[in-house]
Amino acid sequence: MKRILCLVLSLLLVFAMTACGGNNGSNDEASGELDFSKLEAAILMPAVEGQIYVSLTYGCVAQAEELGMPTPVVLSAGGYGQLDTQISQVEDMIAAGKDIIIIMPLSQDGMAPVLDEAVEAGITVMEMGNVSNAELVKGRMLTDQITIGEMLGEACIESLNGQGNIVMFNGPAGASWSELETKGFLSAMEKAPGINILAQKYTEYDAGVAMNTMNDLLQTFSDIDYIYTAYDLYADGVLSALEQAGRTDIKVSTVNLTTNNIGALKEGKLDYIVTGESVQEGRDTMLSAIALLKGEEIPPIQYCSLVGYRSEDITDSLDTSRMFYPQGWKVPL
Amino acid sequence: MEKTVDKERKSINILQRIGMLPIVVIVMIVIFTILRPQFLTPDNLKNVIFQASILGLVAFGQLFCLLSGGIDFSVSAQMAFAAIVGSLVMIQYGIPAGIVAAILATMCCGVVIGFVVAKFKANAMMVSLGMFWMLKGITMTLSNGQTIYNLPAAFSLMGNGHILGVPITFLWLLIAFAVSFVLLNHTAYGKSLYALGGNYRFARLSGIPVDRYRIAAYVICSCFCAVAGLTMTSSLGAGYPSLGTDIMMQNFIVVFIAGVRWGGGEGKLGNVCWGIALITLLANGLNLINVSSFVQQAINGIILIAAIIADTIRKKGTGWNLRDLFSVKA
Repeated sequence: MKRILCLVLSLLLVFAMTACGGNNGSNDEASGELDFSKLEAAILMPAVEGQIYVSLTYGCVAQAEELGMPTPVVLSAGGYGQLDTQISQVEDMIAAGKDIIIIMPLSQDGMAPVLDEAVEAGITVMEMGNVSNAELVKGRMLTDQITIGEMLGEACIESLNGQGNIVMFNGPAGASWSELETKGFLSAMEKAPGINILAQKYTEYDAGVAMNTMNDLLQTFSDIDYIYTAYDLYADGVLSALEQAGRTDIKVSTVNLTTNNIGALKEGKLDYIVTGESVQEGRDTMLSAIALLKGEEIPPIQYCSLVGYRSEDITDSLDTSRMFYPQGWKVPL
Repeated sequence: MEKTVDKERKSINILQRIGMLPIVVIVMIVIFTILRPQFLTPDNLKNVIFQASILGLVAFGQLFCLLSGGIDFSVSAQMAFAAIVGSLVMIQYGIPAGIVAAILATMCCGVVIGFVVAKFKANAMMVSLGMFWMLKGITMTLSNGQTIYNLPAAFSLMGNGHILGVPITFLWLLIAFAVSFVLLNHTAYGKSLYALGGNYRFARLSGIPVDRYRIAAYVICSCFCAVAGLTMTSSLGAGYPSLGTDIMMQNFIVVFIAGVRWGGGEGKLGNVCWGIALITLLANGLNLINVSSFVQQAINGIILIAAIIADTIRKKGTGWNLRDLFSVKA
């Protein structure tokens, strides 16, 4: 008798779990009408440290909340080396029956199968910032990393008048954005045969590592004129090393305008910054995901706008609300 | 004939006494100096001293954990945790409060790891990995994933100051060395730590307060990690939640090439110093001769695997002891 009772209870449990899982089906997607209060979204980021990641996350979350959606689940993989973690996170979100997954994929090939699996499970997947090779993903909001690299390269050529020695901090090895940005920078450098690349460094996502590496490079090369850094955190480390060494003659460029480096740019410590509008990029990604969910057609690849800043562009009238998340906002982890 | 044999024995004895590490370090200095004359310049030595100081603080701490028969995989997370706690507190309440809060908070992490390992006989590797993830989460939550800027200007002295031309960071390393040297060689605690790591059961039966001593080892390690995190923060001028990514790997390479036994009971502070010198000079030298970052990673991995193999061979008692090539004989 007990065994039969156990069996019945187990079957009931399985039935209940099955009923709770999967898409809730509360939205009449075919008619284009959505009940936003029942739409569940997940935002999967490589990391949620650094102003850009937080600003992107804020854009997605704020847009969802403004539409009346529950606050999306935000998950961090814990760094660019954590591909397995991000794959597991997507699998968990499939199991949780989310309606929307917005993801910054850690790897082009590595993330493709699981993202296709998510689409097959009926989840609307939007890629943000990075791209995967998932064939079923219909929406991608990208930052054109090659263009960023090219813009930084052209700014470097302009600042050096086509002559000089440079050092490159390319970012973490294997990260697709880093590879594309480097490609763009190097393609711009081909136009300036007078510029000599002394060293290219791939380092961990850590300002301390960048500082130590820069200290070593300063000992190796006495004639560095320009330093290209692929991300603002590397520029922070590089600037610390230059300050300690008392070197004010070396120009530095980087990506992403932040509340910290905006001051360094104004003071002339940074030569040039390329930045996207991270908050707006996050908002547009969420809106595109909603459009996809409604069955609307969207361009398969959309690019966020990029702006290059020099010190003279930093004025009091500069509107940063499309770039920076509001002070005091916390990532809902 | 006998004289020749005696000479050979003498030279082998000298080699065994001083170990191979100092010789490797000296050979490395010579090679890098030939390849890059800048290697031996005062500016580069200052640079090396700074890098060695951060790594050294953590490696000294790890030595205590390993001697006690444990291990700490959370050192890099503890550095970042100290950096964020210190930064947040000093912005509100000043530099001394920030430093004290960071050190105390990080030492609490050591208490927790030590307590769980000692009282519950839990696997130290797993407990410290748990602490690693826990601290990463706490650090991110405290900082909201953001770098903490606008630290008091005077705090930069802790990482960037100089005394008679020597980086002040070296002073922290010297203090940590002196504390470790006294504790390990001139106190009952040090001798008991070796005994406890060598044979836990025997140490317990001998009346050594094994649990307390084990907890203390983790607390000392955490304290050194906190100082390393604060020094790095001071040098960077901001608190970074992602601090110490390279330290995790490097500190293990240092302790294992220094012949510190995984499992406890064996390991010398002097050897750890040579290990610190070797790894720091190697990283610096490879950067100076512009070796690719990928090749450097591979070299670090090879050294770590070689050191672990040497340790394993020695434990199995095969008679062939690669580890002895790198360590000083007592």
